[in-house]
Amino acid sequence: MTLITNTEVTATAQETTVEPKLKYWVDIVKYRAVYLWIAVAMMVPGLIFMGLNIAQSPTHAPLKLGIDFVGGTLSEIHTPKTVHQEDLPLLAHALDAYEIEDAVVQINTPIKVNQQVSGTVLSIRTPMLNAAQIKTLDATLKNNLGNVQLLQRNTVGPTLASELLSNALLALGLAYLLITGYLTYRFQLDYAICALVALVHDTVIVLGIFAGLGYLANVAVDSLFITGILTVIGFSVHDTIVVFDRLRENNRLMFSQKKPFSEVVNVSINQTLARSINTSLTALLPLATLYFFGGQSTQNLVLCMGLGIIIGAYSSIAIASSLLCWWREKAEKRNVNA
Amino acid sequence: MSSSKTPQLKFFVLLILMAGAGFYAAKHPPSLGLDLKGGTRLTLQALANEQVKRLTPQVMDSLQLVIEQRVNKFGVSEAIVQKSGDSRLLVEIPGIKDPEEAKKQLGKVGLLEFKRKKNGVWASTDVTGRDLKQARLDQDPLGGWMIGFELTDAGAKKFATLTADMATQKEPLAVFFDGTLVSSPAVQDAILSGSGQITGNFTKDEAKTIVDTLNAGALPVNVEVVEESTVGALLGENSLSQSLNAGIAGLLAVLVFMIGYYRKLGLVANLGLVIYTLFSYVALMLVGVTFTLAGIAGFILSIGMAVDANILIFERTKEELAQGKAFKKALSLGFDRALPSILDSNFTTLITCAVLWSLGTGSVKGFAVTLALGVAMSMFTALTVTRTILELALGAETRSRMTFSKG
Repeated sequence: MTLITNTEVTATAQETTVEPKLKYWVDIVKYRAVYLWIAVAMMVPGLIFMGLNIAQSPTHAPLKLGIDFVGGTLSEIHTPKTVHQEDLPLLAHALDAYEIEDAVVQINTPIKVNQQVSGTVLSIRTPMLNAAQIKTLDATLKNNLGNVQLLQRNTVGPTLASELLSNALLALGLAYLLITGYLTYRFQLDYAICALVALVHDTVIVLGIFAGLGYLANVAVDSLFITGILTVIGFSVHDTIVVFDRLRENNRLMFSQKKPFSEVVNVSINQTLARSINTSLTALLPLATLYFFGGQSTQNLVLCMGLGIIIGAYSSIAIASSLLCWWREKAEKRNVNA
Repeated sequence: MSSSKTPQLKFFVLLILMAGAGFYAAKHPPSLGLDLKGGTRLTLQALANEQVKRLTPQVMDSLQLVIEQRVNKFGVSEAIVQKSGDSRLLVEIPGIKDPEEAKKQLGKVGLLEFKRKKNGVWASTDVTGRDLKQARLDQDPLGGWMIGFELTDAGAKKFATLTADMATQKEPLAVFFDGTLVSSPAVQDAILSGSGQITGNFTKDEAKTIVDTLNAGALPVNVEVVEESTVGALLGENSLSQSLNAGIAGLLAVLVFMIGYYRKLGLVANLGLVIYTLFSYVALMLVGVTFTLAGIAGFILSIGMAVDANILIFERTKEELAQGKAFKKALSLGFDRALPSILDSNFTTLITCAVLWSLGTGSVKGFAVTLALGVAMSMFTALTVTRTILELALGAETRSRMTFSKG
């Protein structure tokens, strides 16, 4: 293995040079106004969907909440029969006749039975069922769909559900707080606030997308989704830190040269750009394989993380850094005027 | 940088570690969560009632014992009953056929009975768990373990009559819980005062079991199933093979990308990544992690994140090279300058994992543990394993160079 390149230059002066290259090929800071509009454009549809969900969903929550957060029973079954979308209301109606009310039936991705994909997988979401109702449900399904096999069933009681929901919101708040605290400790308060704004930007956009999916495709969020959001927060700030770290280092080096802060930001972003893109790609690759081959149970978690990684990489460059630049320039102007 | 001998030594240590990890991984099958092998998980909420106004740790101990005994009767191996918070129990029963029946059994209120032999068979007496006020673990003056108990006023009267009758023959008085014999001590004296002891060369654990059983009968607690999750074997098998495929495909995709973009350096990073995958898998097993779907997702994600440290180092090295530094120097600087970024950025992931772990339940906790361990492990492999391999490669390179470059 030859790892030494032939560019060996042993001049010791090279090593003590502190001036980093000032060339950059993407002028990030210049398009600050554009990022603002992009952010608005990405957030507004999500916020509208959240509003629609609040107005129209029975739980009046901005996202469609899974049984984890509101309680209920979710059964997933496999039937050898082929069930079509138009058969679903009939099935819900059949259940209704046995006093299993408000059943929401959906067709899920089929699974392998005896080495081959066959039949239909259905998920049936109902309010929390007791033992007798579960018997009735299983019997009704057998009558209508033949040799039904129970794939999985989750029941969450209302008390636990509200506890899970408040824990999830607490986790979200706590993660924000701890990360802001850590960034203030490692960097400075203005760095931390800019990173926080980028985080909120990422969270709102991902939540907005899921609000839309909930409204349009009945996608409900559960505990695992919150896990995804928290991972996104961790990952997004991870990117931001790499840029900020470079920014801090360059700022120190370029301080004596009296370069404008915007230039330092631009240089830093360009230096870390390849890393930001490559790291996001290597994280997205396994997520993509999980999404396509990993089965339905973790699909929403994976989608949430994938979206978050893309948006997080973008926001650490476009939002966090250019916001910091704007902030510092304002502060400098104020100092000059004073 | 270290002397030329050290990389070889480090590499040797690494090889031994790898062999050990490989051996361990081959010998020990991973323990799979219920969502992968099928089974039922129940969260039971203990409910305070007239008799038991507060759910003290003792009450929960008794309840746990009762539930454990009932779960054991289902005859499945590897069932788990553990406390979750102050007033809940988590029950995991793998491969159960009839979850509804299990729920019914576990939800029953336990019945404690005192029985005496009549014509060779145990026959009920009029004393039951209701007559017992409390049992506690005691020690005799010599340090032997024994059980102390107190009876209610009504119970004391019944017990006095019963034991006065039995003490003459020193008859055994048996304690049955849920129809199972717990202990059958011989009655030495009539117990008239409403309190007594059970002695008999008990170990501490034996005595504690009897205390908990008596208390479960004396202070019966109702339980309510607040959460249930049942996964059939069919879905479990599907999920397991799907996540394995996704994991392998994900790892391959990252390996191909790294070689495609970083060429020879990528090859070294890939070697590091494969070692990382092996080490963190074994580390997860050593910590005793049960692999769930979410946990595997966390593990696969951590594979993608693990190369981040390498990417940071390589990009930094490239910059130093672009400024005209020698490769060895550039690499050393690349490692040193990327270090703060690597530490800071990974620390935030650890923060979110800590939050998830402390506030999450079940699968969320599993995800947090695997991701956190993966992140910690990836820092270790990037900073030590990859570096060792690179130093070793460079060392060999430098020595062969020296023969003709120094003249």
